[in-house]
Amino acid sequence: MNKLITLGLVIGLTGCALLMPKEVAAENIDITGTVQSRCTVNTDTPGVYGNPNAHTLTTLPASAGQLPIVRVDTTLANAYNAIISYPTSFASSPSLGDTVAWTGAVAVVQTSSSDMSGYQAGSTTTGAARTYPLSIAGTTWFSVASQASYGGGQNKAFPGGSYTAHVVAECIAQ
Amino acid sequence: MTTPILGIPTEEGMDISGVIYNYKVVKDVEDDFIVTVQNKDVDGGYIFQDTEDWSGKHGMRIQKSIPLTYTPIEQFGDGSIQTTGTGSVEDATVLYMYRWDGCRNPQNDENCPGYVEPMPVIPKIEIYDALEDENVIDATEETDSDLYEKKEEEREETDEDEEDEDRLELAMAASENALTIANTATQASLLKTMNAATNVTSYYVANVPGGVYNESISLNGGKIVDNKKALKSLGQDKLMNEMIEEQYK
Amino acid sequence: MYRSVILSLLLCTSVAAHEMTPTYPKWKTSYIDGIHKTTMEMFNTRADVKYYEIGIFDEEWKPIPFVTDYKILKLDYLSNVKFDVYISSKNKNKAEYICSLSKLRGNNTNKTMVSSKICSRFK
Repeated sequence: MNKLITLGLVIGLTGCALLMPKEVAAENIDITGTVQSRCTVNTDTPGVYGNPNAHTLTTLPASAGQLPIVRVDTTLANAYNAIISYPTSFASSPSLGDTVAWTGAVAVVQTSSSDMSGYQAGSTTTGAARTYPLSIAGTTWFSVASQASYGGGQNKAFPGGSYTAHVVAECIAQ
Repeated sequence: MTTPILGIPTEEGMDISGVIYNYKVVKDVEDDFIVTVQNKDVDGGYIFQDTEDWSGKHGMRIQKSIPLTYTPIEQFGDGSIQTTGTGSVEDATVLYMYRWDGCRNPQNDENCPGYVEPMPVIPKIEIYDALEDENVIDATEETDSDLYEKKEEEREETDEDEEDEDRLELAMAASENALTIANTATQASLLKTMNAATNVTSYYVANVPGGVYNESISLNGGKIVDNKKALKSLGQDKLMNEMIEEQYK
Repeated sequence: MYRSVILSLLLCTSVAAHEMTPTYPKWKTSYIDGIHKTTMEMFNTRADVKYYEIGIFDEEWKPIPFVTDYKILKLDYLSNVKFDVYISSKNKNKAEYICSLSKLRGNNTNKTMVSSKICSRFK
């Protein structure tokens, strides 16, 4: 009886081994994704205000400031407008009892294609904002100069403390 | 693409995966100006050539990225920025993105596939064999038998010559002696002559007169008396004895 | 085995990006009658920004009421999020732009920061 059971087990195991596949069939594992138009706004260089005199804050390098640089990437031509605005108010500052006069300028400093060399000439301004139609796919670097003067022409000294202003970079679909 | 230009060692295993270049164009809008950034291939042609046509455009700064398939750095020849037209290129920078394949040469790392354990260097030990030392060979070299055999021969010859000479002399002497021996008269005359040379006759007749020879020397002053101061000699003896005894104290 | 080394752009001290797709979203009918929805995706590579505000505007940049899970989304650095935007069907045709605006913290350093805003347009 025991011999029969043993024989049965051996046959069964052998049959299973024969029936089992010798190797796993290869499978293709797909990785999917889509390429679509997009606009990416990057902070290339944060700006720093220099304090050349008591009543002035400026990003000019000659005054120990640093120009903020914004990089805009677009993957599709004529899909987006880049709108860059220099600051017109402090996001954070000590209490200021007098007016602050804001000036600034936005300019294209670098491109990824020579075809973009006409961006600055083809841009339009509305107040502190300059609009660039991104007619070429690629990367464009914009510099933003900003200057704040305190005292409404009377050159009052800025109170001591931390001052922060924001550059607004917008990428609006056309 | 050499080490001085690249600034890093161009070792085997380095691949270039892309190039980023940046330059500023200074020109008038109406001028035609074309800028080409390129790199030669050592096998001929160019690995990449990127051209920007600035004709009729404002001059400004440009930055571009050129992706490449992983290209061994050994393929890269001279790179250049070529311009045609009116304008200038300023502040040009070209960056090469690279990766390092540490196993391009499997022997670089023992973890690389195909790594072959190097055979240990067996130091060559020179075993001194005295038997092969030229100096020893020279020293143990059998002396040329001609050198010493010749001398012996010469000695033998000399001895033989001497013997010959002796024999000859003897022979010659024997012949002379034979004559002499044979001539007894000659012998007697010789003896006689010898005796005459040594005439001892006078000695036989020599006579020495005898007698008494009295002492001719006399002592003046009488007899010899004892020294009165001889007692001192006793004292001296005492002193002498003390001196002797001293050595036993 | 490979060590990939990418030489950083010498002219860039930091790379921080904000993007929103698709560029031209479309309204779809939702399971609720009278409500349309669209799905947007945002990706944040700005290490200095974690919160983004969503807004829908008409062609004159006037705000249009809408509903999302959160009007101010928390989006960590190097993360992306998909979110649904619901709008009433009567406002669907007025909606022109859907924008995401980075929210900057007021207690940051005295550096001038960049506020980024990306708008997609309904067609």
